[in-house]
Amino acid sequence: MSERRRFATLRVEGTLYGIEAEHVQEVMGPAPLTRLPLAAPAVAGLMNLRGRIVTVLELRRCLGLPPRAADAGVVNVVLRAADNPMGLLADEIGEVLEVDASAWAPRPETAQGPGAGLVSGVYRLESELLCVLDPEAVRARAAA
Amino acid sequence: MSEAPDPIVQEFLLESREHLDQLDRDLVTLESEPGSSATLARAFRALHTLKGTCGFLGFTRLGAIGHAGEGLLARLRDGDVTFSLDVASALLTLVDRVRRLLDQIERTGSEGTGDDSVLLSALQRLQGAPATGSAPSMRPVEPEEEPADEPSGSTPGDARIKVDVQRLDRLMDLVGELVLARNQLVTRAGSADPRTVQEATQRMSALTSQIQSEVMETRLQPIATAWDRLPRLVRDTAVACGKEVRLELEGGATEIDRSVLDAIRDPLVHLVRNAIDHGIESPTVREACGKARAGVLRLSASHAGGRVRLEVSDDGAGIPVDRVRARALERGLVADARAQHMSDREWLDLVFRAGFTTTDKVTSVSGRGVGLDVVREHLAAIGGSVEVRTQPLAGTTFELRLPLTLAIVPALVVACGDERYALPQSAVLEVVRTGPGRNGAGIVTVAGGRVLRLRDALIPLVSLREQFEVPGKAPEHGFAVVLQSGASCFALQVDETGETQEVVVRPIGAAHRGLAVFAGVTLLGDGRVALILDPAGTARRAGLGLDLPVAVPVPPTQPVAPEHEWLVCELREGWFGALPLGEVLRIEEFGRDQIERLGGQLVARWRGQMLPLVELAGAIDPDRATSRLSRRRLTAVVHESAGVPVGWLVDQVLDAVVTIEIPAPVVPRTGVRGTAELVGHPVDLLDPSALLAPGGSCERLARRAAA
Repeated sequence: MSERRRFATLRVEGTLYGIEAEHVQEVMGPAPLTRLPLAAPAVAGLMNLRGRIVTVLELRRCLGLPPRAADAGVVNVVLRAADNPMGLLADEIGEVLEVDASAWAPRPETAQGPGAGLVSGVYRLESELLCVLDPEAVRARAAA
Repeated sequence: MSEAPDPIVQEFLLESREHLDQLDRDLVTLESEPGSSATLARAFRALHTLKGTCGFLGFTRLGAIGHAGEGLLARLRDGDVTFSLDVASALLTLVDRVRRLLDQIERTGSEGTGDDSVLLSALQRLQGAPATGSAPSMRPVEPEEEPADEPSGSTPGDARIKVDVQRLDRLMDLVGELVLARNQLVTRAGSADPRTVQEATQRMSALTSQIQSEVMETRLQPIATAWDRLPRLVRDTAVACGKEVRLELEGGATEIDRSVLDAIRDPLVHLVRNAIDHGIESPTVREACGKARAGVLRLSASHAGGRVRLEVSDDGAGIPVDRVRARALERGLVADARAQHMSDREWLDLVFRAGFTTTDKVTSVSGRGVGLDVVREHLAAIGGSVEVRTQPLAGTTFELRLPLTLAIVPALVVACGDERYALPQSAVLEVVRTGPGRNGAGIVTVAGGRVLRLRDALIPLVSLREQFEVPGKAPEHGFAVVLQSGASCFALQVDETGETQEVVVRPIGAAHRGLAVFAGVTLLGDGRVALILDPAGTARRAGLGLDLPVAVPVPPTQPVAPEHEWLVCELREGWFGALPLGEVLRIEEFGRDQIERLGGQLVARWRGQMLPLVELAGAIDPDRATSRLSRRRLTAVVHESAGVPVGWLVDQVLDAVVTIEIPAPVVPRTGVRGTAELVGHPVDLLDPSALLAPGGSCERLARRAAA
């Protein structure tokens, strides 16, 4: 009997990424951001999430991708954490997928790009690959 | 924090620390009053309770130490042993050791291994000592192993406070009401009548401010918590310096925010040590001067003008101003040209300069490289200040002025491009307009660096736009905000300055702690996040050496009070005026039917009396009088000056703001104290008492009230 795991999925530059559903607090549209000068390159800014001040990361910058076109859509995936939730900007949000643990494969060793450290592994879906993001590794980019 | 601390152990730690603090104080008391049986009994009980709990929790090392100490206290209580300096030292060493073990338990969960035999045998030996007072030996019982214990005052356990249950209940009630108000708002949100929505919103905003002040109050603690450990510190320091000191504490119940308390512990320790080491003379010298052998060190706290004043004074030799002057000139700290014009007060202020000292000897107590400059810096960092007064032979007083809280601070909001930043108002010395065609203030380039030329001073200029890589180009006309940072100052170039507002300071996320240029973040009125600048960090980032002494320019007008609060109103279309907020009783709206004319004077019935209504614009400038009688409702600011309540009629009330200074009026008139740029308009800062004074346009109202 195989284990099933649930992932919230999002897309950046066409690639499908997944974050384990339990790590996702909510998904929201673009919110006004306050730029944080001198911060790590991945930091897009700070936002007011119902009175809480939350750091927002740009996933494209984490992955070393070019900036999003000015008119392109953007979604904000808020990662859950008791003391310090964090927002993550992506191009679009996908559905929540339930995948079979047996379809998992570790990150290919040829993956050496700037975002390699964020991806813990991949799931082979029928039509494409689902790259699994490690929430802790993503979080760490706020400080780097 | 260690992983998942046992709640029972947590409780034990919290309680034991309280017992230890009590024990500390009692032991110091006992030294001066060895016969006080009530104090002895209390000390005994404290140690007994501690020992009992240790046994229950299986802390054997603590148990053994507690047992030995309890034995000694029992002998003291029964009169078999006299309370001597040795006994005091041994028991105080015990307190220190227990405190350290408690810290260790908090960190690791266990007492760890260690050898307490020297302490234990000392305690044992003293129990058998003859009942006659042993010759006091200055030697501490046990100097071994311990690392130098800097009393930083912040043990891990300080992260909790006790809150009155009643206060919590009140908070809960308020939150309940807030939920109710929210529900009302939600149900009325779709309603066609905007009034009902407005009502609910007003209710909600009133509740919010009540909750805010309640929560602020839960954070308030008596200032005595900051000087809990002082009796012990004074005792130890006095013994080390061979002095006799009596500590007097006054106003310990004065309440102040936790965060401020934490911030003043270290400066306080320094000032106390300094007073004992340098201020108070040795007993023989004092006797020769005709003073009592024991010097008096006094701490007194009180509320003064929305701040807390804390004085640390001694009755020692005072600071010799001559010596300060000589030393400063010898070390070239003051230019000759300036030296001729300096007052004693200014000379004395040099003691806060880094590296300045009038004594040549460095003792174990003071002179550890921590100087009064650090004290001043620490206090400046929290928006406080310190001044010194001295009288030869009579003593020295350090006066500290502290903000009530750090959680809410007045801040000046500035803008650069589309971005807004908050500057702590306590650091803002002056705001000047820059750009071509301005007299006095101009930006000049000196050796590749830009400086602001303000009156006679050259102030290094830092461009916020360049430092923070703000997109866009600087406008031709901008502003420079002169900021105080430590002992020096610099100017920050920005595009726009807004108003001063109270902002709630939130910590910047853990990930960004490294950014020393920001002191925190806050939410502005429109819900956007704004960063709060740390002036010192910004200056460092810009590469300004803060050791470089920069003359702080004298502001154009000396501020009368630290700040002025104003209620800004539109007097008539396009004319803005502000009334002193402190004297505003109420803002009222009167319907036409409520207003009568009585002997040529408009009046309204208000709180059981006839309130004269005066058109404020006309009272200041008869040429700009405006008639409002055609309106259905009139807005009046009920203001009491010189004991006369007057309803000043205005077009509308805009905002409450704080100004630091009162700039000279643009058009001088009776009743106008100054003109300032507030809420985006030039605003006349008004003084209604001048209008009511003899010769003022409304003097008859004052006369009538007096009659």
